[in-house]
Amino acid sequence: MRWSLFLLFFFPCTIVAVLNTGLQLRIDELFDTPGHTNNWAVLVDTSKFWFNYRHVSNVLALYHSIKRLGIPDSNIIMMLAEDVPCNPRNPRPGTVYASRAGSNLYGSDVEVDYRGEEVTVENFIRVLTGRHHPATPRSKRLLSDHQSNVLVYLTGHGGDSFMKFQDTEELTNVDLAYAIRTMYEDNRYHEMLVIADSCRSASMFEWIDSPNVLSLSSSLTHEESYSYDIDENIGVYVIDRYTHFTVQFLSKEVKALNSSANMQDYIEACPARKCLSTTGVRKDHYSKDPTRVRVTDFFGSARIFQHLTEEIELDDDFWSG
Amino acid sequence: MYRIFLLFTLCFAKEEYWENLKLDRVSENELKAEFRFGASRENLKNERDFEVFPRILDELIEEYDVKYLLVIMGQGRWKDDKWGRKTQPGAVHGAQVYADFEANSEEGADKKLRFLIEALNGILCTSLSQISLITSPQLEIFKRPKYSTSQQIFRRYGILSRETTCTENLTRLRKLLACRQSGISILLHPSKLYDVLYHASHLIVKKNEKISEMEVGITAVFKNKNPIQGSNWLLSSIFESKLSSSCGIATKSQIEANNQIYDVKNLETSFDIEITSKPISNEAKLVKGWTSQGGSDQQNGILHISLQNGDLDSKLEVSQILPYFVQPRYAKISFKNCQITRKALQTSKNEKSSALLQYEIIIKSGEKCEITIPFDKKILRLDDYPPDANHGMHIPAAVIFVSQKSDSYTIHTNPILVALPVPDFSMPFNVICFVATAFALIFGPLQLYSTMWLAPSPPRSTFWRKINRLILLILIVLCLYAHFMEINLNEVRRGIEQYLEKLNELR
Repeated sequence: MRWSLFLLFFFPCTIVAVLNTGLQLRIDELFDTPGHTNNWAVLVDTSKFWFNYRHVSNVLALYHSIKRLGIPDSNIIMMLAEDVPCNPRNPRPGTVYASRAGSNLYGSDVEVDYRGEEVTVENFIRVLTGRHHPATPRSKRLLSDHQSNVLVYLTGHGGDSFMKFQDTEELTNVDLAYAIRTMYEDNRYHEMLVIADSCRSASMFEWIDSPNVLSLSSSLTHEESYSYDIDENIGVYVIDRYTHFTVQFLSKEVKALNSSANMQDYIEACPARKCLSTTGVRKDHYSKDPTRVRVTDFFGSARIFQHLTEEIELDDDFWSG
Repeated sequence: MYRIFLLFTLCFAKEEYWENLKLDRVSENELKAEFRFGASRENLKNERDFEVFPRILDELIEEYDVKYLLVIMGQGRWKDDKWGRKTQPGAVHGAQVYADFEANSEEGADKKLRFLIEALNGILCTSLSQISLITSPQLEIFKRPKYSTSQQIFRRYGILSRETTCTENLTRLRKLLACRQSGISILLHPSKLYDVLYHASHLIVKKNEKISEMEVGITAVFKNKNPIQGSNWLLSSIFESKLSSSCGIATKSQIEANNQIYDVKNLETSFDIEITSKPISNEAKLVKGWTSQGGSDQQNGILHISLQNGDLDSKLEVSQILPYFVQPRYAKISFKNCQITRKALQTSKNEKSSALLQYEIIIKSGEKCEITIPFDKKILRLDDYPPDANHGMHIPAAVIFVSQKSDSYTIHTNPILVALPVPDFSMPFNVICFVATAFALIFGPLQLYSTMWLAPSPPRSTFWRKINRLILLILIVLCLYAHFMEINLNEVRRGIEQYLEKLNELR
């Protein structure tokens, strides 16, 4: 009797475990082996003023998705150009909502690294290239290395070949390409995903020519991007279409780190009938096939360890430094 | 057993943590909540174990030789008449930093403070990098402890009026607390704490030979949203959460309300009270100060600082920071009914540093004194304007240190938003374009026909001239096409690139 009970519990458990492992092995076959060990993200909202509420909620929505998938606050550099949650015009102070029935995105777990007038083109390029004033605290630096997958997300108002920062400055696509080239030459990334969510955003990655950079945009160069939802109580649009649908994809299809969703699924998450604009993709500098890359390679932090096979001698400088 | 205990007490630096919440009704429909969280730690050499004192603050103290550091952030306006004396240290809209620290020289101190400010940005999620600091103010600005040290102490003070404070700052302040998920800190609910009339938060770090101390304080004045229904000042409804768990490691954990002290250190069940006490009547009149702006043009303005004394004779130490974009006219500063006993003026040392005016004023009870400071507004370089230049820039509030017979406190006036002369090149540009076009259209033919010799000539058009004209015509047509189709240069460039690529492929 006891044995049969034991078998009753043990046998199905074993089968499930074996099947799971087998499944996982099969899934792993579908993907290329990721070469990174850590993940970093730079999320930038470039626009000032209250009516650009939606850009802040774009950034926050993505921030919560990548944080849910394991990228810690210390590896996320968030830049918000406007203090929307505590803006005097906000009817619900201290909160940001990305949809009418959604939850508060500005809870007590949010860490903003650059805010207000600190969000400038200079600071953004400094973050990417890592050339800071020595006093800059650790939380404001992108401390990525040659084994980091870096996600750069830009949202705001843009035009053909530029992105507007704070209504005064512009980040041109040439600036962005040079910054990424500098990062490549300094060994600051392993693979990079650049997402631009603004009008005419495909122009932002026109000049990028560094290897292993996959670039996505919310619209093609001759197109506008559109916002998604308006909240009558707040009185402004609360999120952009591209970010809304891609974040929705992340929360529906990428529930955990072992999700088998691939980058091609992410690229197709916002078709033209949903986005009302054609999303732009540039993969000619990206050596892998997006269908063989997990979404979590960029949006999650899997902590992949790589072990060394050769012997390494640490000299005295290592211990003293 | 006793020996092991003794060993423990020897090994660990003695640390303490306490928390306190004070609730007062300040008027019929308004309630003031004052949170105070504190920790102290014995200074022992080579002792790096921390229990309740935040390690990061200890590192800050050690790295920058801080003796006293005060960061205050505020939002909203304190109503002196209704609410009585401002909670100390007094906050004003924006952020203030006050630091006493050891350094070797003035230059060393400046450099150290720049690093300290950046470190604070990292710890508190603030954006204080642009704060303009005043070196060694001569008169008092805040009430602070006296310390004896052999090293030279440097003092810096600065206000950044445009700094906002929001949830991320609260989160970071909360992270410094030993009890984050229990005790009184459960009540720190951002959506409630920012939906208020006045909000202020501060961090104080102190160090002397024996102990290091830190204090985190949050003050908020809540407004009753439905005055018709009567006030319902239930603890759980004010803060949206009940006090359900107590902070076990605190030496003191109490709530002051209804003229009573409730000890919430050992809670068995969740704790909730209603604040029923009558609003405190503020019969004793306090010193008040406010600033207003005069002047009507874009080049200069006038700053009026008005001081109204209360019931007691007082000595006021007024400190007004004037940022680099305003230039005070020192000779024209005037006073009305002010008995000035001491002056300390500090002109701005370089292009980007602020000037500081300090006056010590003796003022009798009930009297009013006015300081008038005329100033010129500077025309800045294009890079120096903030992103939203037409919004204007802030002159920080004046800080007034009041000392009376047995009491001393700090009050503030209000910051002033100054509209700066912002050069607008679009209008002159329009005028120049228009005039130049008209000039070209009118003067060209006039000059041509007035100087031309009219003579019949046979047509001398050659083949090359025709080609030349055709090219010009095509260019004009292309330009007009690009203009009306709203094609920009980038698109033209892309078109040419594509064309060249196609040519390459053909080869």
